[in-house]
Amino acid sequence: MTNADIQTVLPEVLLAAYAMLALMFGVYTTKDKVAPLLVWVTSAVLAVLGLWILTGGGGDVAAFGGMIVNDAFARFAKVVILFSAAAVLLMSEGYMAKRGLLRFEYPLLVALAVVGMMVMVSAGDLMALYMGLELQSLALYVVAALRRDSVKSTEAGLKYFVLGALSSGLLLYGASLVYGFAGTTLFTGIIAAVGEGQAPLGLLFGLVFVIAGMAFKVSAAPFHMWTPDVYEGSPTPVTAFFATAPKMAAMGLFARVVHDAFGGVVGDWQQIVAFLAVASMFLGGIAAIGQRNIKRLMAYSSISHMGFALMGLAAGTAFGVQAMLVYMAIYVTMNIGVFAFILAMERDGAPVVRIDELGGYSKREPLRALAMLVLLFSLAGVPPLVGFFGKFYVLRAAMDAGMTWLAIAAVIAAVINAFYYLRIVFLMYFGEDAEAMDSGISPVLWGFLMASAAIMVVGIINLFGVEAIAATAAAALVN
Amino acid sequence: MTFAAFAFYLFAFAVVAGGLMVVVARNPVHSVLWLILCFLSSAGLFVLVGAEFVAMLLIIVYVGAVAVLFLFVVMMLDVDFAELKAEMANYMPLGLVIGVVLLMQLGIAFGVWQSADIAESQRAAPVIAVGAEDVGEGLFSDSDALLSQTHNTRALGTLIYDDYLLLFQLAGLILLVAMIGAIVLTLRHRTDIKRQNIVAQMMRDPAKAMELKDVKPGRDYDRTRTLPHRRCRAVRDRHFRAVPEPQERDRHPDEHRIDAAGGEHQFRGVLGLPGRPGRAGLHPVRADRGGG
Repeated sequence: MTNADIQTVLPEVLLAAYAMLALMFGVYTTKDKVAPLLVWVTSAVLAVLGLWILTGGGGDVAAFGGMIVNDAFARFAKVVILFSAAAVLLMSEGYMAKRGLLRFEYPLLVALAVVGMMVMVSAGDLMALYMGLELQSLALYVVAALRRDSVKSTEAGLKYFVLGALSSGLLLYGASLVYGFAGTTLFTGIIAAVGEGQAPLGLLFGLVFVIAGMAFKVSAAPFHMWTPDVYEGSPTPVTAFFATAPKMAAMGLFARVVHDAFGGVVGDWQQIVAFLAVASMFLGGIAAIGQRNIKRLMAYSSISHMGFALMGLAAGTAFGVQAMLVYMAIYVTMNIGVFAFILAMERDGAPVVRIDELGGYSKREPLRALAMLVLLFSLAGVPPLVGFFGKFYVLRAAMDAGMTWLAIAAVIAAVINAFYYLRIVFLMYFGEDAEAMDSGISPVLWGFLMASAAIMVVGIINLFGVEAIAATAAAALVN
Repeated sequence: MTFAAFAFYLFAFAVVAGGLMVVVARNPVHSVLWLILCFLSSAGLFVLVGAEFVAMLLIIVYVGAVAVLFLFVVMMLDVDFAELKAEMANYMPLGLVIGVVLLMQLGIAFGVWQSADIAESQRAAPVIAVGAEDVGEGLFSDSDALLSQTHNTRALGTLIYDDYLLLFQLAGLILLVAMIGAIVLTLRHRTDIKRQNIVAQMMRDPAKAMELKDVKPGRDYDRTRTLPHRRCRAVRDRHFRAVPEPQERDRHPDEHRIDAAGGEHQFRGVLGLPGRPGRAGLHPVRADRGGG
């Protein structure tokens, strides 16, 4: 261990140190009364770290003997994670405070989860991967059950915990098989041991177990069962958090493992990932049709979106990884806007989650309804909005890799998925008038909703240059 | 059969049998005891491969601390294990089928198991790294001598605090999160109890808190008092009420957190949701309500 090693993980170290200091501050002062302050400060710290990583640059550095890799790919993922976590924290303050859920530990748990996610996306070793994953998951289990007096919230936390432990077990078992084959847990060692061509059967078993564990974390079908319940039961801001930063982290981890450790046997994992992609796209789309609860609907929507992102990964090329990164960045931005809208859905101060209650919304709140319409169209992938370009990229990646059948399946799934997004739009504009909702919206939520919708429209010019950054990131990962 | 081989099979059999019994034992307390047997036998296995430090750690930490804690928790938990077992019986056939299929598949995988050519050298890499500096300093003639002479504790220490420092610290962070999580989810601040307010106690003025009365024998000094022992009480608390209320009341209806001044905290399981229902007719006795 040298100074250079510490330098490489400095953002993680700083964030962890901040979380511990803030914890002490909270404990020894007025506890929950400082919670709003801590939310703002944590959010600022996350955003500053994100800016630092974004502007810092730096090459391809491996630290701690290769256990941590800081390359363009890790930096891309970290920036998305940090910014989205900061945004979601800011959005959550009002909602949590109103319902007495704003504990001072909440922002700190989010910060520690982010530390775990940052380790995940820059892991260069199976052990570092596991440590990051557990740090992230453990913090998420707790925030899922934050509303401890509600049966649904505790159920969400418990379900997430039990199934998360099971998936961790699968992942660890797979990792032990991989270690047995390669004799090392370092990705550089594994890729050297695996070589090119076909993986032997034993290693293949390890690979499948590891992928199953990771598929659980990205909530890809058929490992998605926990998602709707956890999304529904958790407090809405926590749901918003689940749908953004952890998804990017898990996806980054997925890409890193399959390319950094198993880049030599693309053919072996490609079919598994393609299957996960197709299953997720269709299951998410079909199951969401029957949903009237918007939080569950967003859960199924996230499952199907993960399917599309995995399709980019299934291509197994650098362009595929680039498409996946672009897709995830767009997805996270859209979700922040949509959840800002959902957080503002209230009647007499109580949250409303049924989509039928949105009837006639456009007449009362034309601007907000319009913003939501843009976001929903973007989620559905209607051209020319930015969401369309996300889908376009992954489709092209699949076509370039010669997986025409996958691309055709994805287009069919996209049509199925469009149905339930458009139904919300229909309800808002032409639906039967429901009882009016509270018209107030906090400036923070309003800002995020409008900014997100504006990005979906303005971004069609050049996607804010994300494309080029993602290309560099993908080139760093796949070589 | 050498003694080492005999010991290996003995311990290995005990681990597998113990592990099975942990799952199938009817009484959860027995399960934990079987678990202890598992730990002890694994410690024996570790000794056989020459990892005596890990073996001792296993006994001290797992048997000594963790398993005993388990035992306490299992004894204190009010869980109807018989009901859980009945539930399990419903899923048993399906679980068995899946388990057998999985076992067969893994059997196939291990049947054709082959490690990579470079696996052996990669596996030895961290061990060699442990004492590379010592070899350089001439303490050991070469890495073989180093391997045979470096003891376990030292090798582990060097690895954990040098090569794997990051992972070690991350593990610490995970434990911190677990601790925060346990407190966030279970700590409740009860308001229906009397607490000690040290500041208020210290600020009490003894001159004002007590009052001396000269009571003539055979006469009530205060007719409003109904205490049975009123005749013989000469000293009474008069200004007790002047002491400020010990604690502020709840801030949120569903929020019972510990206050800065300290107080009684109570940990309650995640599952026991709204907590203990109020016991009817049982109200906290407050000393400051009695006197006039």
